[in-house]
Amino acid sequence: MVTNLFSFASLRPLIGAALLLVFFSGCTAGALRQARTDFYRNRVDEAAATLESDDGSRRDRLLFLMEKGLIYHRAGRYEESIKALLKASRLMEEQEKVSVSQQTGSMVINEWVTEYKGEYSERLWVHSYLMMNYLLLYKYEDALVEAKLALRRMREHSDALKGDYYTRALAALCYENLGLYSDAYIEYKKLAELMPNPVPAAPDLYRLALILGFKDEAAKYRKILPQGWEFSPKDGELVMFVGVGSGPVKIPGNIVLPPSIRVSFPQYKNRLVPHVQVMAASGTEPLVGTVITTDVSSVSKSALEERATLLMAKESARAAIKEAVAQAVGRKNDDVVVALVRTVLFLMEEPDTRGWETLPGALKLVRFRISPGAHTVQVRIQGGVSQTLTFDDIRIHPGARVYRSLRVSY
Amino acid sequence: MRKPFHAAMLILLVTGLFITAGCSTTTRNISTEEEIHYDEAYDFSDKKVIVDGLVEPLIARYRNSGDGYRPVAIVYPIANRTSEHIDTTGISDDIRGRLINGGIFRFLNEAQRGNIAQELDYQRNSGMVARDQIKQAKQSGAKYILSGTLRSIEKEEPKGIRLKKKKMNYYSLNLQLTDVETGLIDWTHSVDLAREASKPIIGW
Repeated sequence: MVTNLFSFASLRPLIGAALLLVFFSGCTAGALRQARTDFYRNRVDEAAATLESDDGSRRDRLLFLMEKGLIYHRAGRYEESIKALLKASRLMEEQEKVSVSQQTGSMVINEWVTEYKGEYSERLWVHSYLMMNYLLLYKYEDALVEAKLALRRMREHSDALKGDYYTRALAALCYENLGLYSDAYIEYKKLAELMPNPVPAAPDLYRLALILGFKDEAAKYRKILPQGWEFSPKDGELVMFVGVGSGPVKIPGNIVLPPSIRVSFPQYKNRLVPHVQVMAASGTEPLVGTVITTDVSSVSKSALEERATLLMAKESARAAIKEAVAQAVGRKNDDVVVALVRTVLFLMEEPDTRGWETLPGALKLVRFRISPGAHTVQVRIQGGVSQTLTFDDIRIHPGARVYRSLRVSY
Repeated sequence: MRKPFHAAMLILLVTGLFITAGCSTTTRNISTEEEIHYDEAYDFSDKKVIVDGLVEPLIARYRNSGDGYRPVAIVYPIANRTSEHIDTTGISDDIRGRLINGGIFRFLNEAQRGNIAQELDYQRNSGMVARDQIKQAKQSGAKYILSGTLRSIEKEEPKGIRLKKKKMNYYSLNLQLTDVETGLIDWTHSVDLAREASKPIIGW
């Protein structure tokens, strides 16, 4: 019985099925491709419409939901973005279970047959975008829920995600909005320790140290306040979430060993991320602000690297299984059949290059101090595609914050 | 030759029936009094335990407080400080309902303030005959503010070689009654809940 298993007659349907799999695996769903193309051609509404009633197959569902959430966010449809991203968040919880059937299939075919679970960084940014959406809708309690979930993810993968300063600053802001100053202070302090230059976190640390009565700490951070920054409790803030450029994409990497062993793995390739400066003025008066930036490409790479050991172990096991199959076929068939089987197995080894491709290359949290009242604010983006944007609807109440989201140079 | 064929068909039929039965949609009514938990997260059974645990002591505290006068109170939103998106208005609505029905407090309808103002404005300015107009300056002021905070602590087993992973959630709702006149907290009480759930790490 076992001897017949590797005869050409019994292998024929398997080879046919495998060739079909090779053809279809490694393909991203058409709707997703179309939505991404529209998004990057600045046709955001068309991109949203393409994904509107499509959550994709089970295999790509998380990807669909993440892309949909970001596209809706870009379109200013924050409630719909929340719906999609909350679904993604729930799916991520469900995906913590390891599927035996999918893993068995992937040991012989490739990773494309498994459900996409998202890189650690992408899973974190689901919560970051949810935080942004809730803040833009002034739903501070919900934003805090997401802040806690984001910080939990950062604790789980502390090394890989420590470079995401943006999300940590956003989480601190969520604590601060609800008057949870001690928690906010702790996060700002961690941020100052992690950042190569702690100056952008200094104003928040100084302000909160004063509120909490930490005089020594306040004096310490006062010394490194950015130039022109003054603390007035009556001032409000214009908080801008700025996405810059295009995030990295995964490309295939290969190691080929004779006679036909192919070990493939995904790797990130950077896309265009221009160095951008964000400046603002209310009338003729320039606004003083701070900027905290996350290099999305760099954090994505760290997250993939953390998974690399596991990934390579699985790739090696798969290569060994395929070589064993090829050798077993070789014992019962002539060289032509063996060559055909080896070719199919070689082609089947396709790395999983699925990823959240509408992410920006950098995320900037820009916070401008602004006096209470009605303002027309001009925001100038310098670098990349330079542009000036006018916001004529900025109403600041004493001590309150107003939020806006931007995506530039992509 | 026929017997094995019949046996195979029978097995196929029985298997098919099992699969069909397993895949069919079923519904059933469940009692809201029944305690049901699917996982460690907050659910309607928890809401009931929390409301019961807070309302009874509050009613007991004010039931024998005097002359039958029912003080006026207002409910402020219960702050959600957990890591879950929980609609806490469900808790405050239930507490308010039970206190009204318990005959201890009267409550201002904060959510309808805008509509009340609009209605009064309409009555004044729409040419309505005076006797049909609601008299102004009859609205009550709150003597008490009822407020609270729902907190949670979540813990899960650290990474390790195992087939199941345990998660533990602890919830605590602290409710306070503040005297608006004095600013003092007149009554406070907490209800705590803790639950552990175990989920398989491997599935089909």
